[in-house]
Amino acid sequence: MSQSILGRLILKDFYLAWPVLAGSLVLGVGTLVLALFGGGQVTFYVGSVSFICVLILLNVFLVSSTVIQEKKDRVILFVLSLPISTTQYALVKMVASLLGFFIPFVILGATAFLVIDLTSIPHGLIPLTAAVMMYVCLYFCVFLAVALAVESPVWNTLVIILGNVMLNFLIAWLLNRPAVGSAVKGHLAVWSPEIVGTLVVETLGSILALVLSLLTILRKKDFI
Amino acid sequence: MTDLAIEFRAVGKAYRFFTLSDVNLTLPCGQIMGLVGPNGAGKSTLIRILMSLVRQDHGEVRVLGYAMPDEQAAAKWQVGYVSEDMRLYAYATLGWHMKFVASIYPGWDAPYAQTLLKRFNLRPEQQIKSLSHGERAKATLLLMLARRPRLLVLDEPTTGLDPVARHEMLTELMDVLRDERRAILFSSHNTQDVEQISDQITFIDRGRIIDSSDKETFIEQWHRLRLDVPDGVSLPTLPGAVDVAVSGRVATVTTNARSQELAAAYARAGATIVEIQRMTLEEIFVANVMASRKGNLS
Repeated sequence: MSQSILGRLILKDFYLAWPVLAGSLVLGVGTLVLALFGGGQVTFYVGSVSFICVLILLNVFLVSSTVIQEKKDRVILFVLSLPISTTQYALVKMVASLLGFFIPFVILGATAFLVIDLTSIPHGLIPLTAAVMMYVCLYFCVFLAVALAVESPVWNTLVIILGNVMLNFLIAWLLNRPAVGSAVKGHLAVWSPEIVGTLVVETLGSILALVLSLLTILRKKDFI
Repeated sequence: MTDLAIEFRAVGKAYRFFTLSDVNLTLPCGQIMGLVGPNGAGKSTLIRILMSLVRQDHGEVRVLGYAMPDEQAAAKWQVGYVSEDMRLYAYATLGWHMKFVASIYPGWDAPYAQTLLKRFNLRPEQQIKSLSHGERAKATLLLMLARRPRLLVLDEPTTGLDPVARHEMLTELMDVLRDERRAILFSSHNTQDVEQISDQITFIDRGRIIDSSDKETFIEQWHRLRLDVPDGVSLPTLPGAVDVAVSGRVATVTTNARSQELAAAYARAGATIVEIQRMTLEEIFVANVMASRKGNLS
């Protein structure tokens, strides 16, 4: 019985977030079309940057609408009046948000890599694209973790600001690594130690953020 | 099955600027308790502990026999909770909310939900964001009542409602009370609302339960004596006199003891009893709180 409620709550979050999910898919595909089939270098850069922006918007809008807004508007009181525990509530939110993010993220990411693979765009871009996309994933996990575990909106704002700023630093840092910078325009995808290290740190950071968030929630005494 | 709908045993919770101290409180099944207190008294904290939204620092809380917060999921199947600050999903319709709650509760009473829709003049296709405050409160009540819970926990549900919406809400609650197996905990700072529907009344102030009894006992116990005190007569300090206010020759004594005995004692001291007044619940509440703050409550 309890599992069926948790499933319904996850579906409920999907139903309420579908404009964000559908919008991000449409926009994401649109930016890919612009980047890959625009025909010029400018449209490629505009499309690529817009593509990353769409993923960041998906992250921010999804967590804001399903977690932060629910707390802020006190809809959380309605949900917690249902036969679930506060820990189950947090788990549902985490699972629903992760699914809500990763379904469009994987679809858009796979489309991007597929199109790069099938077109004349240098394959040297693939590792950098992977590192940037994985960074967006880390950004999402940290934002979700903080939104779930912390009540103060200041922390959420801080994560958004830092998340956006750090992306620029990451791209600049990676392009300044000789092994990465020189390989970007090449025809082969080069998985340099810097790229692999970055991917490992981003993956572990994502997992760690979610685990720490769950541990914090389990220790919490006051849920609202 | 337990006979107690709610049980607080030595429950406490400390915040930086507020402490809920050693609350002992029981509500038997089939009873309606009004929890009355001024703003910031601890009503919502108590109810949030009851609903496991906040965990007590110490003490034991049981809801329909379930230990809270450990067994909260099981307990909540039979509890309907509404609070003044509870909101619904703004961009979803009331009909969507009804379907959602009905999909969770097998005991959802669809005909009753339809009756409530008509009675409250609500339409399922309405988006929640388009509802007025009163309509939203009634929609929340509908979603809770149609679950047919054994225990209703209402945290200031009438706050901010216009008189008509308040009347509609209280009338519906009175209707629910016909089912004698149900228990209701109703918190408010509006004594009129509480007086209208409660069997038992509990006063809370500054994080402490200051008095708890059935409504009739409060009304019977509390009186106000108006005395004429001639010059040269000084009123004795008597047990049961919770407050004595003197203005010229007129003294007003508030008591929660037997007023006739108190009146006789004042008469023996030389005062003339002008009038013994019954007090309204609001007056009793205010007197109770003030006496508690002064430490005069016996």
